Amino acid sequence: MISAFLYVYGNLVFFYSMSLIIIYVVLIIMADQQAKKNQKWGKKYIRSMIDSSPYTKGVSIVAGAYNEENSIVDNVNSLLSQDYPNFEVVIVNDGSKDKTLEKMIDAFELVEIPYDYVYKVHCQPFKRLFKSLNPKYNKLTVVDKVNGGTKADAINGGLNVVTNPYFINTDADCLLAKDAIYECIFPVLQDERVIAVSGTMSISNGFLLNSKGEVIEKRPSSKPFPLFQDLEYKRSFLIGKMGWSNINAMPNVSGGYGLFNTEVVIAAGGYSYDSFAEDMDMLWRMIGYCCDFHKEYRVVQIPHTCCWTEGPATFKTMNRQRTRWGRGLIQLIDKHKKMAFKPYYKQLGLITFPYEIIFEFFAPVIEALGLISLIYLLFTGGINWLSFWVMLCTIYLFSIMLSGLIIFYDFIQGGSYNHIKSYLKLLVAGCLEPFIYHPLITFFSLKGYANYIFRTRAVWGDMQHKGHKK
Amino acid sequence: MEDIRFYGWDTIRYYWFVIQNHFSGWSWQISVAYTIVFCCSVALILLGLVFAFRVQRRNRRNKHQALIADKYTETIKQILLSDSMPASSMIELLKKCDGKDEDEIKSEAKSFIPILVSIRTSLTELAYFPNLQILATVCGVREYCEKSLLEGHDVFNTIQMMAMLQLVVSEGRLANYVNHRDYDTRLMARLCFIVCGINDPYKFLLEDIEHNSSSMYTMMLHYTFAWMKAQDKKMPNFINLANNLENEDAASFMINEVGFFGTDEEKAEIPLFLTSKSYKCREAAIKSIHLVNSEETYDKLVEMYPDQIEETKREIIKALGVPKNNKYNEFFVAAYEDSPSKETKEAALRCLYDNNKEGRYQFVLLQQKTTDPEQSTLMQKIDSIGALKMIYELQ
Repeated sequence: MISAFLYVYGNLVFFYSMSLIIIYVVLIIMADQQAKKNQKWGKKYIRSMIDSSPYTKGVSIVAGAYNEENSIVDNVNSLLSQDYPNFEVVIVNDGSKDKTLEKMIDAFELVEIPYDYVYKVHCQPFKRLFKSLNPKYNKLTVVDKVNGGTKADAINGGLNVVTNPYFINTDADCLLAKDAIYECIFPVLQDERVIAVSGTMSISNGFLLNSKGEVIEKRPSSKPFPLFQDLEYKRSFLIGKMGWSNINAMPNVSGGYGLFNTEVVIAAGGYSYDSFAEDMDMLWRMIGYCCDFHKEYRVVQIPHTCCWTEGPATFKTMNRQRTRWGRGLIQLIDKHKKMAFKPYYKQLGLITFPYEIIFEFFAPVIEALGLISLIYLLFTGGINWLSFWVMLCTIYLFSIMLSGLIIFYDFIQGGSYNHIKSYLKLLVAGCLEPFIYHPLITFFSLKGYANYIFRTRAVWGDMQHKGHKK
Repeated sequence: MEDIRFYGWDTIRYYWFVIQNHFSGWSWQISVAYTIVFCCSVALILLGLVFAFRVQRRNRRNKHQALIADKYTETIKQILLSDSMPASSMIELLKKCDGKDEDEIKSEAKSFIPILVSIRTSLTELAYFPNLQILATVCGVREYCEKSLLEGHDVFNTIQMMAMLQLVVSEGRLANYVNHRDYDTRLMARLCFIVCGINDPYKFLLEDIEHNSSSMYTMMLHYTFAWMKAQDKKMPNFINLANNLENEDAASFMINEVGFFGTDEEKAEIPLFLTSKSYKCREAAIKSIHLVNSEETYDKLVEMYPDQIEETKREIIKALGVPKNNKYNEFFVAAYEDSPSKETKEAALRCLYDNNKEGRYQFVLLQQKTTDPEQSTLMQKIDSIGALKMIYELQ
């Protein structure tokens, strides 16, 4: 009985892995096509059109801040230093318990102004709104509200004061590239059907900043978790999302950096305060709204690195983040199950949803079962060692090839780092990742699933930002 | 043992059988896995080689570009920003930069392009540079572009650069591309055709804008029209185009453009669109009136106000706020009191507040009169933002 199970399981895993390899190869080809479409247009050309036009669309940057006193001033400065001609920055102080608000008031000369706050989307009660007395910061608006416990609630709080047709959802701990808005708005300018644009994100833990919060040297972190995460982000954005974007089947626009159509987000009901994958949930509801009202839509990924975020550097914060993501995925699948395999929901129903279930949701389960079978076979002496090594080598080499490819890809796109040796560091991380980082991520995801199934009380928790080196 | 020598197809078959024989004792899954290992290894080696090659090439190119930019940027900028200058003076100035003769300067044409582009990007407020066309000839940039178009090499980038710099080349050079099968190439070539065309520069305009009224395309057109206007070249008849377009967005763009570049006769025709069936065209007409600041049409806006949807009403209010005329204060007060929309109320109050002393007085009266806490907060907000604006102006 057990041997029959192991035989079937072994074959199943083989087909599963081969399917995944084929999907990745297809994604690489599609990502390449998509990147070429994007690279075709010269950045300077786009920029000069936008700068000189009276038709330039306004963009609001909305960022939630909760207990971020260490880095808030640097990060708001980074948000304000955007080059784009028509933008505003809305920072939502989500009931911080530390001196986040006070630091902003001091640094940006903020004063409270009366505001007739309208709850276009639900959020915890609004308290105050601040504007700066200094014309240098006239693009800054700070909303102070009662803590909602989730990022979704904070962004909804900001969304209610947004005045532009498009907004960027980001985190206050993110550093944005100066030309990030130009890059993100371009797909919208080309095609009015675009409802969301995802910019590529990277990890900023190793960066050096000057006193104004501007990046002076980009280098990878010397700590393992942020380094592995950097590689993971690059893989996800430059191959996964770029590829899906080519066929309008993007599964997610990251909560770290994404541009959205304000009207569609509000029409879809804003961010779900109870969701643990609020970014993915928002996108799926936006697509659902467009399908329900027969509106054409496009969701686009761009290869340009628009945003750098401080990744979790310790086991504890990593555990909390990834457990939440795991929980978010299962919650999302459960919540939107009506969309699965339905042609009515176009690519989302027929491609994205099945992929998310089979290759995202089941992957940790299959890996865990694989480990258990391996241990069982070790004890019973049922392992064919040559087959074992060949299979291990196949998956390992494919994973390194993917890492090599994304490093190459990143370099072609302009490069996330200033030195070639930074890329070598990433490549070393790529070689170690399958043995150190990946098992941990699998474990955290399974923990997230268990938390959801057994209804364990959910805590978002603080992510202590250490700030950047100066 | 005698050697067997294989030739041609037999060599490939021999190795195929060797591989087949090697894996004959294994399951097909192992064969597949071995194939993947082999492919990945080859891919990794190739990636490493290509990466090293590209790093070296990029470094070499960047170094050369930086050197050229260092030597020529200031002189080129000086030439572009000065009044009309003869070609001979330009050549003399360029020779001084690096001691190169005329032919050697032309051989660096490709390196001059990024310099011209970055100067253009940094000075978007200028509609055109009077010396650009001659400078492009002197530096060999025009020759380079024409050669690229003729040979079909790097066409899209070349056309894009030409559209950005508004570089005039012979119309015939674009002939292959104005009907190109690639949509983007065709569109860009047709934009360049507006700049370079002599007989009928707007030949493709109606067809193009009818099918593509994306914001990017309208921005490109606006940029080109600005250059045409600055060069005193023949502009299209915007009103005719607006009347002949079925695409509402395209028609409203044309009506908007009247406000920027239309002739006096065309501007006088804008009010005709105030009664258009399309609300987008009506809004565009209001925006145009706003731009033209035409006193005669303001009364018509007041007249048509009650029959409009809220968005159009707000546009009317904004347009009436432009002349800062006491005459419309009553209108703003009525708009504030009658509208069910908070956004329209806010627009009316804002115009009243910014209008003039009389308007501000009316605003204060309304503020004193209101008992509704929501309205009171709205007024306080407008008051505070107005105060902030004054502080910004003082600083």
